[in-house]
Amino acid sequence: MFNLLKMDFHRLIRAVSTWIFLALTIGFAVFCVAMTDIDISALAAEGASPAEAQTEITRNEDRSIGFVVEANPEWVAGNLDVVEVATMELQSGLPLLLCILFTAVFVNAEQKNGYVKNIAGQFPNRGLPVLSKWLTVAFWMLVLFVAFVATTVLSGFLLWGDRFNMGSVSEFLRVLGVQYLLHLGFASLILFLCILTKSAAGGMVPGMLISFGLCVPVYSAVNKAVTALFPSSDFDCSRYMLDGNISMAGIGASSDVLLRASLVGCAFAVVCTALSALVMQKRDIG
Amino acid sequence: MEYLLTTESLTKQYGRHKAVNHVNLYVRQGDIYGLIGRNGAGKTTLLKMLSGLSAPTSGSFTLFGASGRKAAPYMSRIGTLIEAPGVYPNLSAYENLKLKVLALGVRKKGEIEDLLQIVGLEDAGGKKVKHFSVGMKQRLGIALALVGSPDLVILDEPINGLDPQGIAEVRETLSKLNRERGITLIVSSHILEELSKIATRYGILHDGVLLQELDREELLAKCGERMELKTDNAREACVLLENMGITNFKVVDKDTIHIFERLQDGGEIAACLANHHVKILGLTVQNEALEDYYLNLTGGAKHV
Repeated sequence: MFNLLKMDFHRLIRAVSTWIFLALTIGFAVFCVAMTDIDISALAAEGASPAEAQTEITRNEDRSIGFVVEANPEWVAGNLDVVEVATMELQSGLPLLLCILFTAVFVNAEQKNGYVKNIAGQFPNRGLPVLSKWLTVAFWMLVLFVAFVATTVLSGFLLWGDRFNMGSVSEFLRVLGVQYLLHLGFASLILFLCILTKSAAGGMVPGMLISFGLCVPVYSAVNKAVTALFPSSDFDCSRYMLDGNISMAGIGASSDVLLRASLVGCAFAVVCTALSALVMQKRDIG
Repeated sequence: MEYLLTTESLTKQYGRHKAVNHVNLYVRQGDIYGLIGRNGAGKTTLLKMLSGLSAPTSGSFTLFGASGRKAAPYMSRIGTLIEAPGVYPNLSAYENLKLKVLALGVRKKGEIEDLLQIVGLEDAGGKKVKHFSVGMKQRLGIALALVGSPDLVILDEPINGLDPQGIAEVRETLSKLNRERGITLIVSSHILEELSKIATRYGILHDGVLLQELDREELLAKCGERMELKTDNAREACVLLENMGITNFKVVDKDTIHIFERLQDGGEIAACLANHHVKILGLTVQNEALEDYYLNLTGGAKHV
């Protein structure tokens, strides 16, 4: 297992795509901050008041479709909170998109060019190469996360100077950890789809559709069906989905929401990785 | 006899089609085992099962004396090149080899340089694989199969896409590996003449069925030049041949004898038999090419 990890890390470092994704992450973070700044300027021009601040997303129907980087109207006149800005940008969907693309490209490379044939037969448990890939993806996603947040903070300080205040570090780390688990769960889903379909597109396309929020109508339909069957229930499908929790687990979210989001992220990560290992173990290679 | 690899009724079925049908294969330590069969005969499917890339529908194989789950630890002693070489096109030959060296935990210093030299890619080690010719990729595939000094190397059509010089080089490389490092090789090909130049043992696969397994000497005997004597008294003819000092002959059936020596002495043999009142029904010199032998065996002339 350790040897496989060494191989995957070596490939990770040598692959051009790895560094392209890091550059894109930094670029997206700068872009998000710039868009937020443009939004703040626009709100200032319109004379928006703090009362217009968007309420917290707690239900499926509250979510927007597409990638959304919003500015809090309170930021127009007052200080900007590092924690709030960074968390909102993590929730925008752009970092998730990068995770999806990176995972699909990295995982599928070995299958696409057939390199898997050189090693798979020599390991009695073919699930090990899958686990090794998952660990490598988890590591690089952490790097991307840190790069995204660090760039956001740095860009924020450059743009807003003294108005950009740190806020609660402990809450930030808590939300960041939960968001990382949710993104990792999503990466695990992409890993599974790529292995199942033997194609990068097979993982990318569903992943992108989900990250765009195109599953929101599906979740609504499921919710309506469940409510029709059990009128007294307050069932919301998106509470148990990765994309729904990425939207909900932000600054100000209750501990229950954060705990549920962490569990959803972990559950997706464990189940999808186990299924990927099972598919790899059972399926003929080449 | 101790075999390095044997298969017991190995079968692979896709739907109703049996790609490999109850194959019993015997590979000895040190063999260069040539697996002959035309496209679609089941060679790749069989080799994939032996490489651990595909699970048999039924049957099993014994590797280094261990079968079933007990054979799993020995799978790391097998190097494989199945179909086209699996390589990262954006990495160099060196980097591609480095990945497998890391995966297998090979710690021997200079392993990659040695492998590049063995396959004649020492000058192209730093070049990206996407700029390689088909032949160079094929040689890199062989080098990948040799990482970790495996005891058994399985090569599926290793000379595909190679020019005549490349074929000769690969042939020489494989012979050298077998001779100097004692590596057992299973090499599949549909180019019979090429296999015949290196293989020490043959398996002829046709429509998923292993029609025949034979040693090089047996095959040469079957395909080589011989005199076919047809007579009404084979027993008496054998005595007379021995009296003439001819010992290298084989009684094929009750009235046919194949003689493998003194092929130029047909007249003398005929005279001897006539003198002893042994009737000669026919006396001809025959030479069956390997390809003809294969086609006769598989009944495949109509398919060619």
